[in-house]
Amino acid sequence: MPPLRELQFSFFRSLATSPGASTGFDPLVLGHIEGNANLSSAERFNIYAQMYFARVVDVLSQNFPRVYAILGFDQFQNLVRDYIAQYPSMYPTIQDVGERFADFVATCQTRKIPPFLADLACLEWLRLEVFDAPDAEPLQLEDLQTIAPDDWPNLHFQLIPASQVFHSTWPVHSLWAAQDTDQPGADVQPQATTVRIWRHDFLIYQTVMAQTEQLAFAAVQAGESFAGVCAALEAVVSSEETPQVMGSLLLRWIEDGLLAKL
Amino acid sequence: MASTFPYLGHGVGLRTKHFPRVWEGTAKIDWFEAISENFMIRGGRPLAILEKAREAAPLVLHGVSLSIGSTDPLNETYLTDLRQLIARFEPALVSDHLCWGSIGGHYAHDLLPLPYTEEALAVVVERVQTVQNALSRQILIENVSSYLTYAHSSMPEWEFLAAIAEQADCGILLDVNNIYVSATNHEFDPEDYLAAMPKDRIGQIHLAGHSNKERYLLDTHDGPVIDPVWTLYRSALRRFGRVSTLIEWDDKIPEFDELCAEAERARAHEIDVLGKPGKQEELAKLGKTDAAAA
Repeated sequence: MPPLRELQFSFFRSLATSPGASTGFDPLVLGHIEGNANLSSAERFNIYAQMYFARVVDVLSQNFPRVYAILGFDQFQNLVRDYIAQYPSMYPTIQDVGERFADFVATCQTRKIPPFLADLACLEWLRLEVFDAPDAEPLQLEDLQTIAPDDWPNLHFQLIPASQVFHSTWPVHSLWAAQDTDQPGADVQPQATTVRIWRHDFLIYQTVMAQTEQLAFAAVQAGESFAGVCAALEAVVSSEETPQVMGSLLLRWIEDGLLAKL
Repeated sequence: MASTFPYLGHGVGLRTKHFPRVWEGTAKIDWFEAISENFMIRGGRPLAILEKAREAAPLVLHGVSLSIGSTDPLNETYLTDLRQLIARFEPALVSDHLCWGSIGGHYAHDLLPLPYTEEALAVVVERVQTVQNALSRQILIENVSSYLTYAHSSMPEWEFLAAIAEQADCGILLDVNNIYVSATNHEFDPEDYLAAMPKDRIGQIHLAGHSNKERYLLDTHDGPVIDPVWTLYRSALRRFGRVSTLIEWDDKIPEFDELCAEAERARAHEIDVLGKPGKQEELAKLGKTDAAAA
């Protein structure tokens, strides 16, 4: 009889080394499992082996629905098999099992996958992070009306925690939104894209940001004052146009619920 | 130490499909059970829904990843998250499973069976005591469905579970469906299991459906409770009296009203076996005492 710890390590290795395999289990484990005429020890262990793999495939297919749609079940399952063999879950919550999936896809050499797939996986993961990020009361338009004109230059706007920016070399937002799952992305071309993702009223939104918005957004993220944000904009907008551009951006951000109450 | 667990009536698991009903306040049920790990998050809709559920009815937290039988150190981050959930939502009961699910810092996300040995018993008892100290409360440990047993087990599962409850001073969440599934898979009499359970340790009962895979039963929680499991539930009621009972339904989840109808079936069995709850039990369900009600 092996010590419990040794048994548990052997058991887990048999589940995790070749996920989904139905043979090749550690003889040390099988030797301690009771079999009978109905089910052998290997068949009994295999029930757990199949459940382990199926559960991870199921969760990742829910968490990366567009990647799953593009690859189809067989290819997706093979990719997950490679992933979970290399990165077995380190988290008690199964929803976290995909944390390194996008990084894995980016470096995956063993499967023939579309070049944009890692960025698409990253976008899907960021959407999940935004989904359960901390809550924050959003800034309202009326809140701005109470600010004295002299206070504006030193104002520090803050983004809500449920917001992310994603820089991609692919138009992942259009891939994500594609309804055609037969051959999505078949003719997609590289295109530098910056997307902001945020949560408003428990729903997740994303939109592409133009250069002006990117600059202003990055300045807010960096903790710049309102004057500093305006100064950042002046890299691409004349000083005469800056107030109007900044005003439009503020209105849109407030409408989107992207700024936290001051 | 004698254990006293509240009688909550007949509840259902809180699942995403029914979030809209909870949000609009039309999900009427005696109590909800929430999977602890699903709410170990920082914000967003699930926590807001859990707040609504807690406002509407008593809540029970049920974990799947405590990994109480692992030989790894207890996951302190997990315990901190659980403690915070408990502080925020004040659950009537807190439970997890008699199994292991992690080793070497890796998680299988499954309820893996333990060998029933003195070594495993000592591991689980020590860890349950540590968890209870960390949470400053008793927890309930649930029997799992299993598909294999170990040749070197030195006692049956029911003896192992009863010993844990007594030695660690914890409660038992008795999953009647799991007893039936394991009894079929391992060819034992489920009544032997019930007979070995210490009555004063039973704090909650689970009922669920399972799948018949011809050569074994699989605990899938994807259908209604079958008649033999209802029969076993009635036997449990005769032995243990009125116990908070939950319908688990995790796959092919029906509409909320159908789920509630299954909980009502459990109530009907309870009334048939034990009669209608007395005034004190009804008040206890509402979290009130006789004096407070007056």
